[in-house]
Amino acid sequence: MKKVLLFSSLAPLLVPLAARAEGETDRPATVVVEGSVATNYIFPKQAIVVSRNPVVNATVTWNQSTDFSGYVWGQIGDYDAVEVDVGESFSHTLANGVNVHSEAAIYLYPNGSSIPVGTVAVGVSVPLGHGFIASADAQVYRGGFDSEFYSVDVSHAVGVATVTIGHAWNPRQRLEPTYAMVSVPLGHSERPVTIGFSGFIGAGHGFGVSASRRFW
Amino acid sequence: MSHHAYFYAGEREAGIAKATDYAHDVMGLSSGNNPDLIIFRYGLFSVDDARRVIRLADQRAVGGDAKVLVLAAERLFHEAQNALLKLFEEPPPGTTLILIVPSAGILLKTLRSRMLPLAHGTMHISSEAEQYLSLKASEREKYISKLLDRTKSDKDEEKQTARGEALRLVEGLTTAVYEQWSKTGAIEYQEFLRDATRLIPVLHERSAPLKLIFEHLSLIIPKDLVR
Repeated sequence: MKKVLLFSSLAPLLVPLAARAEGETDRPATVVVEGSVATNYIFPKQAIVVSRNPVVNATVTWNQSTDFSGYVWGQIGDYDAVEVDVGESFSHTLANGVNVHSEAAIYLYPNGSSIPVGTVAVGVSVPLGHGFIASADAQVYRGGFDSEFYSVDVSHAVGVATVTIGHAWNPRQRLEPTYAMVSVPLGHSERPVTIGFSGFIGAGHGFGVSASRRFW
Repeated sequence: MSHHAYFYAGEREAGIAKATDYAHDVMGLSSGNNPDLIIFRYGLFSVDDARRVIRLADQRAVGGDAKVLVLAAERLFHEAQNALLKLFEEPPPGTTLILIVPSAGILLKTLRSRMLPLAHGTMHISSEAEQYLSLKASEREKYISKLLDRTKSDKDEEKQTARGEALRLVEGLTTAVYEQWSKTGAIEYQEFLRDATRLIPVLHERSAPLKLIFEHLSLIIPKDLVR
């Protein structure tokens, strides 16, 4: 499941989270450690924040069973806050290739405040044939930043790259970005560095670049 | 029978006027250069300020048996509020404490429970909120960006001043939204109030993530709210 930050204007730019998606499908390892560096340039129409600080993410995921995993996701470098998300996710692929996934998490800002933000997400991915996969996701945030985020997207492998195009809505924050993401692994090693590019229009506009790698 | 600790939530000078009225009417203390009616005005009330108040409260009244300490603060660190708990639970004999804050929501429940409301403050839209609401959308973004930049100033005084302005802005916007909600009952206003009342106490914390808070509030503020 792709990571959607609290602030939906940033959601399409979270390329580092492609790394987490890889971890989730890589079940043989009991514990997966991943890291990434990213920078986002956002030119907001409605959002007040022009964000261009580099951010560093790290994720530790521990697979509890075939379908369930827990994770701790941390980020520093933006919003003047350290964010630590602790969550439990579920992912199950049915016989026909349809994947259903869900997640419950709490977002914490240990250096900045006592605000805990709770979130629950559900989603489904459906193979469309010819290598296309369609996904639909919904996520709800509660705890002082109440909002709902919905997205639909289609992804396709182009050589070693994965291209995703989607549209998202956050009615509460009056944001409706259309986004595109490209994820390209460099080299053929067991744990290659993955470069991500992304951009969006429709809630302001912006783009992001990231590099991520699984370490363990 | 009088209580020993009160709070007033609202505009500061109006609160001080209420406090001096109380000292005069109930305690018999006049307000003109009376050493037993002590009024402190703070931008940010810190733990050090709390310690000074505690020491002062321990001193005997000069002119009689009673004295009143009025503490008017725009912001109070949670640590400072915790430092006041014991004093507000059981002040020295003859001491009455009156705490004046912009809104009751900034008070920790533990401190709030030790006080009675002195009077209901009047609704007040801060000058920061008035200015913000008079701006166009693009100008609002710049206003917020400049304010947030100032909160990161190397000069501590500038930083604290900006954080105080940020707090007054959110409180003023909340009041403006509340006024509209009272007239229309629209759900959009109610939802803003729900989030704002949760986030205002956070703005009193030492390292409140202002960017997070202002981005969210500026996105959800009702579109038709202008001055």
